[in-house]
Amino acid sequence: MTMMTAKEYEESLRKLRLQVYMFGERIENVVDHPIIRPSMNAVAKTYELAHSPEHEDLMTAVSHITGKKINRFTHIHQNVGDLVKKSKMGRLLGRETGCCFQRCVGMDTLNALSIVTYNIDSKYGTAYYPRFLKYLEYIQENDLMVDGAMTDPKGHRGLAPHQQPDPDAFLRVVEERKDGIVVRGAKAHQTGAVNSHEVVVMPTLSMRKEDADYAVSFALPSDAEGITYIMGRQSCDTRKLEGGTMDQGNILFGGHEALVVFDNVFVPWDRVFMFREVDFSGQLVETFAAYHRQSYACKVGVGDVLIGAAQTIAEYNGADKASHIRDKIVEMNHLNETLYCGCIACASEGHKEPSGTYCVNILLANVHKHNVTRFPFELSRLAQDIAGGLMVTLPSEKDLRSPDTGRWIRKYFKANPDVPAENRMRILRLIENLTLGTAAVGYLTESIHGAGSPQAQRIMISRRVNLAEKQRAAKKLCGIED
Amino acid sequence: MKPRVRIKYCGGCNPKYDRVALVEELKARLRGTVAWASSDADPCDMVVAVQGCETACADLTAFAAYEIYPITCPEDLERLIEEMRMKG
Repeated sequence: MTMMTAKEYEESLRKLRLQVYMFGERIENVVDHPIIRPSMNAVAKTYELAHSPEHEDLMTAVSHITGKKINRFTHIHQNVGDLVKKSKMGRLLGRETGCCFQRCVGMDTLNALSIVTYNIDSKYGTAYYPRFLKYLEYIQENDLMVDGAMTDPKGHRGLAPHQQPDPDAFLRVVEERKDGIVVRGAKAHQTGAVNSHEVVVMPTLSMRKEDADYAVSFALPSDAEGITYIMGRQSCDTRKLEGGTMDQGNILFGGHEALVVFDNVFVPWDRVFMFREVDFSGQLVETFAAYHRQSYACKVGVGDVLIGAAQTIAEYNGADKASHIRDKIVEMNHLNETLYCGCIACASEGHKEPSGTYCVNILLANVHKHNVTRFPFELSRLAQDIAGGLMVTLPSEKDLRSPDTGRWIRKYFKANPDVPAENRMRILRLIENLTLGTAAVGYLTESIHGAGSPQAQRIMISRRVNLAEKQRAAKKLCGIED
Repeated sequence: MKPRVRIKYCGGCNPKYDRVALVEELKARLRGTVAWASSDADPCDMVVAVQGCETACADLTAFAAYEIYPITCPEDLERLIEEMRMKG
């Protein structure tokens, strides 16, 4: 097969037997559920654009294993150019979907494992890397969507995994068998989990020897026996159940997160990529995090949408010529392109690891993600400033369609005489969606905590920055001789 | 024999113009002058590299043996059409 179409991807999901719960009920038809389907549409876009001549240069790559053309989301970066294309692909998809398209986490997981499994083998003489390559070939050949699952519920934040009152607060090995292992625990905040064919689990932090049972990485089919998905709520999520075409803001795409519970799940040995090598758990976390912090290139694309919406509402309001509005649009672009600088820079300054995989510049990837924890909030503030208060006081689409109230809405919410009130309402709903509705989960809060909270980036910046060189330069210029 | 032309797009991360619309115009204006290669496997004589901006990052390594005509902005279209007509 090698590259699925969007339709083939959708059909492949229908064959999965996932245990999904939402609002306390089992969801039998996951693909067509109105709250979940927009997120499936967003992932499907990653398949669709790979077949599009005007996007394939970013969306596809050549497999270093088979030499075949593959979807870039299943590719292992072979040079700096691959890393740069990954950042550009993120911007493209963020702009085309206006949301989290969920597939980057799997790509980042595969790339991190391609580095760390090789390094474990080099130290311990294990055979994780060839095992991983075999699994990778399976993913590439079948063009599968992978959920990279790192974040444990973590219990008491002041205690190590083995010290937790509930030992399942971190996912762990509970049984070792001749043919594999049994694991128990959960992974939280799993983006795109129920749109995935596979789930690849990684440890969530650097482990000590007492935490050996928690230092585990493995892959499972997403519908493996014992896995349960509990969907997370999003602000304004039930608007998708109302049946309209306006109030959800983004009428095509969305994201989702879920709590994924592993209740005594069996993993065969050929799908285990780390087993109690505690000294490599931190390396896997840091490598994955670096790639995933680069992946926040997607927020530049979502920022493109927000800036486009802000300019449009300014024109619809008849305020686009006002100097302060124009200046705010400039400021929004300045912030957004600054984010773009970071994701391109960390890719351009990438390096080759011993396995042959190219990794981003870890310092710059952390700086980029740290900017992402801040700038989308200022972009959102500016967009709301430009939009005006109507964004949050606007009556519903049903009121617009009502024979009793529709005429008043069309009369009083018309601003620019060339623009129908409905168009003004639509663009306001999109800004609402991005800055405080369902898409704000991805654009704002995920921008803070996704791929690690701000403090995690500050720790990495302090570790990676070359402070001694800065001091040497300063001292030399003012005549200090140590 | 009409020259066979292959269109190769950049990935379109942030294009400054509508690349697809420009190619449609190109094809309409060169109708009857050149033939269009439709896929990677289709043989061609020359390649039009449709770049969304001046960065021009489309991967052209597969087309190293061919004559490449770059487009990085809509203003390049007239020059390109003139050159193509001379070839045709």
